[in-house]
Amino acid sequence: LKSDDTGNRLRFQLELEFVQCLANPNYLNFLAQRGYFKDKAFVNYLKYLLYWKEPEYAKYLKYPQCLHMLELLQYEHFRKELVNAQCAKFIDEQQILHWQHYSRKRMRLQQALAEQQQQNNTSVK
Amino acid sequence: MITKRRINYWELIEILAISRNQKLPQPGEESQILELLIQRDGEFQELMKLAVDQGKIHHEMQLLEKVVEKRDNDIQQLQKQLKEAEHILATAVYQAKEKLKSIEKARKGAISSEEIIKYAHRISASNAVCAPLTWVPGDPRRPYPTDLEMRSGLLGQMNNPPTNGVNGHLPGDALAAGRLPDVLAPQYPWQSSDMSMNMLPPNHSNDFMLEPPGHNKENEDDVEVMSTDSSSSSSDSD
Repeated sequence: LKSDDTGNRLRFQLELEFVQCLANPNYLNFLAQRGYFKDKAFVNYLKYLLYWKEPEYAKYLKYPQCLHMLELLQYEHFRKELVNAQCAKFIDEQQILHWQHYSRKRMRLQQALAEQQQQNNTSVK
Repeated sequence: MITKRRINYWELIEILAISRNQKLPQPGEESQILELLIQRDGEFQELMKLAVDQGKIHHEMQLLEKVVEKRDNDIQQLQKQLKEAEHILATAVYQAKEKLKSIEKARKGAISSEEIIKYAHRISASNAVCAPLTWVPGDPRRPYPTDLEMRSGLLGQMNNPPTNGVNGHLPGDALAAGRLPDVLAPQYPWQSSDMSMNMLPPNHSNDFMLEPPGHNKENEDDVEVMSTDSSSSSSDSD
């Protein structure tokens, strides 16, 4: 029983790691180029991994954006496109831009706030 | 018409009466004709009575028809009002049902605000979903597990047991990463060690060659082509 438990625990950790690796477009390109996406068993495994979308599992994900990649990977067209390095690069760029979205927004807000404070200071004087 | 005819018959009777004085009649004939005339007159009298009665009945019928028409209109009005009421009620019932549905949905997905805040903190404090404010191109940090993180995880260590380097990190990787202190930290929070015992992965079969039940997502029309021949990287992101 105990070994079964440990086995399940281990499997949980491994699948948690693996599903999050799918957020890395370079890794996806790597998998595509080595033909993993053509393996029926692997495709079935990707479908099985969709359980990570459930809230009780999703709460363990540090990189929840991997779920979006997982959803896209269910489509054969997407899997085929990932063989191209250009495709992976494009996804990478878009991901990084999106990642910076909130920091840029915050910077703009901070700038606006700083400008406003400056205005207040000059008007008080 | 009847009165005219009556007058004509009276005229006829007068004429006969006069001619009776003027010539020698056959008495039988005259009385026969008179009898016939009287008979006819009687019949006409009766017909007159009948006509008057019929006229009365006809008049009554017209009155009743008017009443019926009025009732018909009343019924139509009621019908319209009922239809309106039904429509309003149906809309109200439909909207109420929709509200109940969304209440049920919200109730099902209820999560404590504390949990949500904890999770939000977890994913943003580690810069997983939001870039660090000091990020510049050249910074090795990424919105996904990097090569290094992947190799130092369970998966990486299962397939590539550490032969050299500290804590499973090859010196080349550490240099490439360029940020030694963080890189050498052995415990990455993306590998959960605080899993509850009830959280088991659902599928206990390891044979993924078996077709899982359900449809295949071969909807090629839904997926946009992401790589194009052009090298422009500006496009709408999700």
